Amino acid sequence: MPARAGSFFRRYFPFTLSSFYDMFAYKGAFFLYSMGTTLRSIIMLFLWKAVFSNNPNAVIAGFTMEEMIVYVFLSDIVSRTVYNGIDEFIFYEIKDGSIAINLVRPISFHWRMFFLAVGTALTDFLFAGLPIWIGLTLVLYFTTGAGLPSVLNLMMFFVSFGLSFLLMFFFNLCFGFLGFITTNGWGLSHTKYTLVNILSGRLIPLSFFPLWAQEIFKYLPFGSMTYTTLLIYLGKLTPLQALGTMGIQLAWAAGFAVLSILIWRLSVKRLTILGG
Amino acid sequence: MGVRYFRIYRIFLAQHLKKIVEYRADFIIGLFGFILAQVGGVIFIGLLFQAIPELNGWSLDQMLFIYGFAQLPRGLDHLLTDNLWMLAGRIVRTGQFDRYLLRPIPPLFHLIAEIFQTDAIGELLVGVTLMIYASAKLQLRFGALDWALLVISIIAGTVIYFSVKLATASIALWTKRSQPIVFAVYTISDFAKYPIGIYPKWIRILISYIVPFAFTAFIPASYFLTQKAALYCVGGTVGIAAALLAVGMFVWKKGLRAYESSGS
Repeated sequence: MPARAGSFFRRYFPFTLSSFYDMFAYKGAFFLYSMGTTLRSIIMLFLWKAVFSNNPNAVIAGFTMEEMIVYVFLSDIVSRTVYNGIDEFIFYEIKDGSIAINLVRPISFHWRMFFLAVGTALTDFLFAGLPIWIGLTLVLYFTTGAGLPSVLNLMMFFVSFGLSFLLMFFFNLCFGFLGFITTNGWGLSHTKYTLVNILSGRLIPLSFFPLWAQEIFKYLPFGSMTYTTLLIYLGKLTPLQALGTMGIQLAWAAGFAVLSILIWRLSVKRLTILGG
Repeated sequence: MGVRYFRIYRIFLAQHLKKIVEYRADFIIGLFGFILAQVGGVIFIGLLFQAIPELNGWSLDQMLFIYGFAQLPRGLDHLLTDNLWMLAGRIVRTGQFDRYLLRPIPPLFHLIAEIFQTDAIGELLVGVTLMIYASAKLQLRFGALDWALLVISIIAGTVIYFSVKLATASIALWTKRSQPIVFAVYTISDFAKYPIGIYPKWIRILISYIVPFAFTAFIPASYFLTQKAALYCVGGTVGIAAALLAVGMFVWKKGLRAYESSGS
């Protein structure tokens, strides 16, 4: 068994490494893109500051201003880390036909995508998310005295972060398979990106929505992608509630995993590629 | 001379319209995506204003007017000059740029005429709708002069977007690829969707005078809301647009002279 596991990793780990190499090859590009997205968080920061200074209450929709600032930056870090772009990758492979060659190779499509997504997530987190997070925590500590979350919350946060990654991975995988039926992958991804941004709580905490909308969100997978992970970090949930939300994350991830395997089996059978 | 370019542009445009008819689903998906993105921004503002009656003195309807106004120069630029993104991304790197230099029309004109980005219609639709809705709610009165100033400031705003993109995309003529630079600078335009009074001084200076996107949205829009400071709000927009256009053309021309083909 260990020997087999070893060859398994030898086979797939290069896909993870390739994201690291890409990042190093295009250091400047990576840095500028990260700067661009951080700029958006900075806009949000000042917008929220203005909102809080225009509101007589210190707490809006369950958040204090300090919590909101953490939320703005950290929701962006979590979202951009788990946002793996493999759907666009799949669209591209289907469109240019290279998926056909990859089907012939002795490599599982699902595992290849998984190791690729792990690579992009780790690269993004280590070289963009983590430095921003540390910087933010230090700045907040020295300006407002806000401390770190408890060790328990931090640990639960990381578990939930991982589950969010899994959920997003299988969700994007299913989404990418839409490439089998349409050619405007870019338009579709753009639409999905917008929807996820609104419904996952990346743009604004879901508690700001009217109650009827929040009731609907309970039955959708999007809240599990960012919102509940952030609530755990900010200590808004009891350990028991946190475990509950992690269970829901896991259930959604499993659901999309099963769906992705089903779609894959059905599509590969009827796949026809132009040229190749 | 102008007539000739107009005719050429029409021929390029006709090709695009054929593409839309051919790939109708793609067109609708792209349009829907951009409408949804704008609607997301509007929902966000709406949710914010459930918590507060006004933001630094601006009401919800005024914010929607500014947000709608912001979409027009942005959308027009997106509609007409989207190929500059490709210039920064792959046209130089893959050696395709040589093709533009060999044609009997100016390369910049060719580059721009080649793409008519219909996705932008989503932004324009949402922008116009928001402005009509907000003007009606605010009972804004537009005289003939205001209409003229509105058109002028939207055109000037479009020129600002175009010039910033041209200057940053032209860097690719030296470096082969400059899309991340275009992206980083373009993102600064997001600041302009909200009243600049909410930002600290250094950001206000940055977006008013260094990368002056404030003049594509908040500053001209605030004139139509308050009827104050026409000279600064609209005149400033035109002045900045002219200055930036000169900078953009200068970088582009310098780049053309420095350009060496990457081969293909």
